[in-house]
Amino acid sequence: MKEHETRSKGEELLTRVLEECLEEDLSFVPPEGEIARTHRFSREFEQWMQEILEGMSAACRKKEIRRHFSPRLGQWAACILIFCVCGWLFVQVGGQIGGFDTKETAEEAPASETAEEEAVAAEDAPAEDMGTGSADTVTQEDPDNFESGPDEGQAVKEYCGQEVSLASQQKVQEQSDSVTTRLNCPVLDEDNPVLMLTIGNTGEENIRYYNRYDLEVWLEDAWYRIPPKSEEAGEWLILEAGMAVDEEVDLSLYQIDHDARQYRLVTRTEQGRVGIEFTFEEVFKETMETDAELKRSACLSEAPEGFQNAKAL
Amino acid sequence: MFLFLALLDNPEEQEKFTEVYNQYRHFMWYVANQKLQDEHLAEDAVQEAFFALTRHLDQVEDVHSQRTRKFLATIVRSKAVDILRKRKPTEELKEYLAEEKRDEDILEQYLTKENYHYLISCILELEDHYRVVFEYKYLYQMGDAQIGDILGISAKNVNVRYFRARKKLQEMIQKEGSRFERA
Repeated sequence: MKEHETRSKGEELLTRVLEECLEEDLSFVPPEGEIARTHRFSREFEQWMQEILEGMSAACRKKEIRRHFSPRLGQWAACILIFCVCGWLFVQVGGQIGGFDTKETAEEAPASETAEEEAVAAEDAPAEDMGTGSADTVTQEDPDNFESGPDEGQAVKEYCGQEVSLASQQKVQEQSDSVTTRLNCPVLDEDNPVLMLTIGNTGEENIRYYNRYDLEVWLEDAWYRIPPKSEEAGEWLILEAGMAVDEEVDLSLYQIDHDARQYRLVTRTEQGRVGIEFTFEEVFKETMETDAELKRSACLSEAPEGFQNAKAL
Repeated sequence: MFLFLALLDNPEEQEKFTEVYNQYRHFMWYVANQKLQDEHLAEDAVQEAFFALTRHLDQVEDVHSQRTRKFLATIVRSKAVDILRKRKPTEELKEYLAEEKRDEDILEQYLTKENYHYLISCILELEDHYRVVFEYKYLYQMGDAQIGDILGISAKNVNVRYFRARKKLQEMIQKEGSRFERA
């Protein structure tokens, strides 16, 4: 500040000139959104920055813990915990020696097992969310998500010579409050296995999405996840507010037979899952023909008698 | 790397850094690419700039201000210039040879309102590695040590570069002035 105050008139003038020149230089730079449309950062760059951002939060968390956690308090807490555990053990052992009712303990056992199971399920859920969970893990986080409630025995099905597992979320919207997904074509040609998925951020805040998508197939009464031929780890990418990104999805990386009535691509975002359905040309044609047939027969049955007779003739 | 990151020691700074990254990364890339004309080298310059920013985040008061935008432009440009200079070491040699003939520093005399227009055209023509030193010093009031930290050189070298920049500017104004007079 002092330096600023003691500046000569000449230096003040130079500062003004530098400011003006910089402004002029920057006036040619297009808006951020426009540059983002023409340039996409390389994977290495995104990865490096992701590491920096994640490293920062880890470093901050460590510092916060250190700031709020005094070692002496920790020692006290440990002592109290040991004391409590010893007390509990003493009561338990004393109770058994004193001839407590064994039925009580037997009743407690299943309860603790259930608690353990719940804990395991709770641990599985976020792991699945981050894309590291195995495909076979079926986590029914929200039973309301199931349209017709498939039986537990149907959690895994045989499809196209492979096992497909029940999708963890049955009801998936095409768009959430801030994310929407579109496909370049909802009816696909079997010969062209590549489709273009567009993810749009319609909100006002940046969002993160996972760039590996779940391909799911509708089999009889529920959606099932088709595992890719080789599982590749994806990464969480940032999608800026008001921006859209096109992602190429190659269906030849999955074992599919094109015969199922409906497929869908599910994208994971911070705001939840969004999915878009599609079908294949042949199936679509058949469906349309069946629908037309049904409509025609319905029309005939409702038509006046004379018209039906004429049609019969 | 994590040593540098540890400098952002509170969640507010971390949030500020993330906000700067989200808002300006494409802008910074564009500025770097204008200098380097190479997409990948421009990304390297942006990385280097963000790295430097972790140590000088105090310069960013309001993420959305014009000052922040200009400051980031200066950092990324200086990083781009660094990359260019590393690729053309011969220029550095020329500069040292030019340094041999020493003149008096009379720049102050030329910094007058009458020379305002010469000054603008001279600054626009001035080599970037000199211009960024002026910008750090005059626009952001940074000391030699701080500038040296960003540029990866010692405070003494920053001072040397600053005086060379002054001399260069002085010569340019003299030349520009005489050209104008002749015209």
